[in-house]
Amino acid sequence: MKRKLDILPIKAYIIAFFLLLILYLLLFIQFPLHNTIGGTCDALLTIASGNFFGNYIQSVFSGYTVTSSLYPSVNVFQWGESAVGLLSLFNFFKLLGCTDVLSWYFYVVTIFTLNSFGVFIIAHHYTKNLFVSILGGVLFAFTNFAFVNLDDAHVLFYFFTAISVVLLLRYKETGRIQLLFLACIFSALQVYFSLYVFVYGTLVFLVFFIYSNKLFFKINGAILIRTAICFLMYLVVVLPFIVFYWHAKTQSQAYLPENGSWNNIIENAVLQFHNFFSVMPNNRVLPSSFQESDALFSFFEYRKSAFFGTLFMSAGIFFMIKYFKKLWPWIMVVLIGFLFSSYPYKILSSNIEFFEFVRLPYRAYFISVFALSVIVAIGLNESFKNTGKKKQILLYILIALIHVAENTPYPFPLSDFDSLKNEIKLLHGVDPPDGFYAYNIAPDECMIQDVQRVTNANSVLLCLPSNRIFGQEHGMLCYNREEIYMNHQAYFNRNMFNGVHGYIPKTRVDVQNHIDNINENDGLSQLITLGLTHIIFYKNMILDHTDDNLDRLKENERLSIIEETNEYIIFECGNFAQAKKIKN
Amino acid sequence: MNFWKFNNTILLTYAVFSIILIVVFFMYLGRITVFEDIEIRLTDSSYNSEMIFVTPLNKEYKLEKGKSGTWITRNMYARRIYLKFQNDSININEINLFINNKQMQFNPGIVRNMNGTVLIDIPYTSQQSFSKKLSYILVSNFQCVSKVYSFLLFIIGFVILCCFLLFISLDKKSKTYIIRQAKKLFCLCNIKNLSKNTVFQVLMFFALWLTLILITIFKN
Repeated sequence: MKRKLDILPIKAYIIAFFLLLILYLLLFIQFPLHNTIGGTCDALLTIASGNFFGNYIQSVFSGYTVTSSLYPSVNVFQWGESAVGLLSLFNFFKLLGCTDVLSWYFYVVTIFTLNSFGVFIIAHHYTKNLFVSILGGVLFAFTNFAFVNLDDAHVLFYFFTAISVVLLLRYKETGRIQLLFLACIFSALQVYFSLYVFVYGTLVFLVFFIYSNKLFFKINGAILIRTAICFLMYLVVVLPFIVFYWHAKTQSQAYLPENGSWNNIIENAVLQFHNFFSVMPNNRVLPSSFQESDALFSFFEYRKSAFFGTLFMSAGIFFMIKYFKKLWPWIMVVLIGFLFSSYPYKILSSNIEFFEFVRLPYRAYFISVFALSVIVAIGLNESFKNTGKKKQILLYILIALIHVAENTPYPFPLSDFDSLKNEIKLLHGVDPPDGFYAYNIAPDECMIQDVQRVTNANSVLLCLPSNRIFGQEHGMLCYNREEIYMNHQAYFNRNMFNGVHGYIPKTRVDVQNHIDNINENDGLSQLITLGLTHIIFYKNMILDHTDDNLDRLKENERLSIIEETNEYIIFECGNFAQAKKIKN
Repeated sequence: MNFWKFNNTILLTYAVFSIILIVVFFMYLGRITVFEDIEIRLTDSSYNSEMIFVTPLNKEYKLEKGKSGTWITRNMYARRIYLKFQNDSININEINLFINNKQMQFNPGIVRNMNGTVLIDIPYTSQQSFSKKLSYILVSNFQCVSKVYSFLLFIIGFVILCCFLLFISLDKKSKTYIIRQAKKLFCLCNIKNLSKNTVFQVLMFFALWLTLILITIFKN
């Protein structure tokens, strides 16, 4: 007989949510205070894609033609792991009037708060203890591993996974079939928030689906029908996404520099032993082998810092052994996450091509941390249930403080661009100018007005300097520069050649070849043939002499200056040979 | 009852064998050459020079110059290292350089060649002392991140080996007693009972935590 569940008063849920919200608002406040964002390429892409998505939605209602970067390629979303659900979240804050920096801040705070809240709900389902459940939530989201992936916050958004697991556990206890179907819907919805979370969240969902239905212990017609319905529901929810991407990816014409094989990336994206103990820079308690600028220049290795605290690790291992029988589904999830993120996955992907579709397997480790946070919350509750309430609260606060101290850097890497600039200059020999500051992620009002005044809806823009985006010298900074241009495009609302994404369209590579030859008439002619009407040269984006071809552009007979300020020059394309002769 | 009775014949065999081993080892030490990493930095890099490296088989290599006037070789043994200048009218009274971060200042003995080049010998000698050679053998055979770890690994291995050999040299009664005691200690029911003990659990938890802290510190 299934028992009735005790439901925690809504008041306690609200208290927990707001406590967690305040915690993350305070943690990440250093970013808006310094007017910076805590990420590099992927954070910039989130902002640019978010603004583009906002324009796209507006165009649906207003009827205006949507313009985009990566011109002449269409459908900007097909070039990356677009997370429309989370882009909507970003746009929600933009609609409230927040700037790009502030919207990104609230976006990250929301993701972390919901992550913690999701684990809180699961932990509370088991423990019925408010404080240890909050601790469980903090353990999951407040980790070094989560912070080094701040750049890509959408890959750690496991709120829907948590909700679907709770619904499955409640279905197991009450037998109410509606909960099972609701769990399927919630789990499938993840695909609109992050593809990686969808893949790994589905694995978690499968474990608990098997656990709550006792799928391989007793199989009868009813269970099979139920399973089939759940699978169909999953498919129906996911279908629009698959249809959109099937069409987009089969027409993609993506540039694949490794002859179509992702194996070289996967090989380097699995976790090794030292990654489980790698600490991010500026940690005040533990040493780190990273410099702050590694977040920018060696971000691949940096993002694999899978450390989440020695206390959390040891408690997780301890309670896994102690409560092995009770917690076996969670232990399964820990093992699955570990296997999919480390060496075994490398072997799997090199032998079975299907597994190559996940390029960055280290992200699977998030489900291990997710499961361990629940295991530790349950384990602590079991171990101290006979201890007095006050002593329990003190103990949980102490554990939380140690965990926070081990995991939190201060200041957060990339929060202070001035000190980062000095480090970049010292270690990499380049001095990023003003254009790279986060406050220039969005163009100022004057620039937007100037561009919109001298161009029209049919104009096609090229932003310069634009080079070295395929990994040459200072490639990372040049790549980020392209993404700042992409964001500017969303404000200018004109088509633009510039831009980069997770997967680069072949047309972008061809365009770049023309851009690299722009000082020779052939390059510029080719671009004009493709539709180029105006060039915007950003004086505050020049990294070195390779970028500084402004004088040659000014002398070019096919370009005429129509607007100039201290920060930028706008050229119009045409034939101005006669006019320049008369002037001379 | 005294359970630590040894078989004297076996102990004597160990002693003789150890002496032979030590003697052979020192003979071996006398013969090996130490291959090391060499970094040479000239303080005055204004002269356009080449660094030539000569191996025990008299093969000459020109070293590539790195940043800040530095020449680096890895895992090499040099019979001779010299500076070569193409300009035969060069006149240097004093050379200031660093070899493996140790400063050397010397008055060069200049050799002016017929083909217009100038050679200056660097007074470098490979490591020859026994202690350096011992350290080299240790690091080569126990390859860890640092010499301290290699030394620790060697000591631990040596202690385990000694314990094992001593166990073999015990007489039959002593061996039987020890084996019986070990079976009693490590029997499954004992382990199960022990693992339920709260103090033991707490100790294990803190031991695990300390281990993870140490690994994190050393890995960073």
